[in-house]
Amino acid sequence: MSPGGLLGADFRSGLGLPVINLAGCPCHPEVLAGTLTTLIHGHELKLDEYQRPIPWYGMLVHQGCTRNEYHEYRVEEQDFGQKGCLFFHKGCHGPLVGGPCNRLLWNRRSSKTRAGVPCFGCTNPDFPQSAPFFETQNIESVPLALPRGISRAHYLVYKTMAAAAAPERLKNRETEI
Amino acid sequence: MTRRLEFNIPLNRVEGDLEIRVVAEGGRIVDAWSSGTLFRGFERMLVGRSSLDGLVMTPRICGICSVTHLTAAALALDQASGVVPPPNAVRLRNVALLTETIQSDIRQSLLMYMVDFASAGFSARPWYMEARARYAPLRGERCVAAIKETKHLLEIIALIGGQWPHTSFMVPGGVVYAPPLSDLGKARHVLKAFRRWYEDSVLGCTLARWRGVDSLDALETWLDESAAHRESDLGCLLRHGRDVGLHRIGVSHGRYLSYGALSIPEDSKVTGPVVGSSFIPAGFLVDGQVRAFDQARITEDHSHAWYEDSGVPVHPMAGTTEPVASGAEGRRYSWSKAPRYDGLAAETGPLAESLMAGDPLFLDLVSRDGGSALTRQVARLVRPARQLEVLDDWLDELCDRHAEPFYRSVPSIQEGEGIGLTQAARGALGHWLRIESGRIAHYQIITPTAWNGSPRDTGGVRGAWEEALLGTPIDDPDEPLLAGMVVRSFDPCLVCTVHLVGAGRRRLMV
Repeated sequence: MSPGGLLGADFRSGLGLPVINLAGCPCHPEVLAGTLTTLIHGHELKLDEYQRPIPWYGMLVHQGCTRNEYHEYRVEEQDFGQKGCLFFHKGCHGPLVGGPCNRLLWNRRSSKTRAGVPCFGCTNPDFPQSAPFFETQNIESVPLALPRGISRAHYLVYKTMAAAAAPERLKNRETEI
Repeated sequence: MTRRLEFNIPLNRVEGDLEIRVVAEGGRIVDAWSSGTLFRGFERMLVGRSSLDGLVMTPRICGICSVTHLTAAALALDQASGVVPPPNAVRLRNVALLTETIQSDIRQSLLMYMVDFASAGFSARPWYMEARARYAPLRGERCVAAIKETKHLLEIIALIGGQWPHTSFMVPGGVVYAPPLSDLGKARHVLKAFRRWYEDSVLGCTLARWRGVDSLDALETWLDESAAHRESDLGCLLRHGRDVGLHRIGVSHGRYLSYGALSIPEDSKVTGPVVGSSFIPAGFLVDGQVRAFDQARITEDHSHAWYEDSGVPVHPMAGTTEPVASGAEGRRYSWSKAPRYDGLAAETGPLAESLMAGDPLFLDLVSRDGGSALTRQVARLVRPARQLEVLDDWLDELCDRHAEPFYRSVPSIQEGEGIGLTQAARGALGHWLRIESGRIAHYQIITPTAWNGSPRDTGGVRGAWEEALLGTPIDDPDEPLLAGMVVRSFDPCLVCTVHLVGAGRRRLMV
């Protein structure tokens, strides 16, 4: 994929700017406003490998999700409505894709993953994926795609131990969220 | 010799762009064609995908009514699965759908409709300066207020479904999440503040006072009663709308359609206007009589649209979306198909809902003006008055019954058919779905704008707003304000049907 997409890697606007991708379906309004404000004030805007501004795409959707403790101990949602981590079975892309959903929140209130809706990875260049949205592609009950930057062997050991260490209160969902 | 003008009306400020070609003679429109010029093809994207994927794809058809598409997709999947969602799931889905509809009604009315009163074309009117102060784009005091207030209102959907737009919190069997009581409480606070704003400044009176307005005479009394009524948004719409003659134009076929929406859950304090019906009743109103609605009577006619045509209008469960872009025959002129009920063109939207519910004010207004642009727009602006209280009732019930289930487990759907019918802000929305071997084998969607912005059918019968344009005065072909207000009274959402390119103004023949 060329950094400038259709316009090419060498494209520069009248102001000398390259293509800037504000990814997301939809893009978060604060990302749009923040990008424009940064440019209007003439500040530097660092871009990632997909030409997305790092201040908003340099974090994972997973970061800030209120279901992080479920993920930590591998307390999983097997069916909708169970309150658990959506990464292992319900197709959540939170630990895989960059985006500010759980940092900025939507409508100043919440996010899909906080409300039990998996992240569908809409900031990713391959959105919408061709695989089913509400299923995690697994090998031996371990997701095919692992959280960004982790080795498979380490992840297997860590999650097996974490699941064994999961506190009863979490397994019994003795929590409001 | 009568002067004959043929020109395109450029319409911006719709959800998308829309181009309408009209012929005017003697200063009035005598014929009209509504044209969509870009193919979208969401239905084709869905075929072959996993059975639940419509829950993620179809909300993205439209950024202003994504929850409505989600509702239709979930209802179709409920039916395909055979699982009935529990009452709390029905409540939560209803709360989201109502919230989205109310934000859309307010944004359309204040940001896209009333703004016409602030156009230079009306600068000679005595109320022009008042209208400018209130409704000038992005600066008018009411425009700014509408943006702020609707933005807050949508927090309700985020609190229960994570985000707006484009959440997928409804699934076959219910919803994915029981929002904590603390969040339901926040949602009620948000609603309370919005309701106060709506009463104080959109209506200018309490919901209870408005409910007493049950005829044209009662409406006149209401308007005369106080400055607060006259200076509300509703008061301005009535005063300015009558002054420019909106009550005398925009009458369509006089046939109205509603699929019905907002099922009433078991043990609810909410009652529908008709015994045993949903909160918004379904029906087809023709010749002054409401007929029972049956979706089997819906067909789509491709005769004037750029799609392959079997020559016979077909039911959406058998329909196809195969683009034919030649256009060479000169007859086809739109990427919107022509939906028909019992073979008839009809309009859909808030006015249709009011009539189906037997609302005495709108029955009286339509009996007098035939269903004018003004009556259609008033129906939209006052629809929240019926809905704000039930929205709070359902939130209240969700708090009371919080321990009850929000979801009933649905095994993976391998085979099945489902039809999801609901009412979007703009009217009747339907999804027709068939699943084979766990994959989507068939998906057809008919949007409200497909009904209202329909092209002609095999019999040459015009779509709803094509018909409504006939007789509209054209004072200035370069600024056809009234024609625009007729079309906008239907709240056009061309994004849903097709995506139109604004071709600008092209005078074809003078």
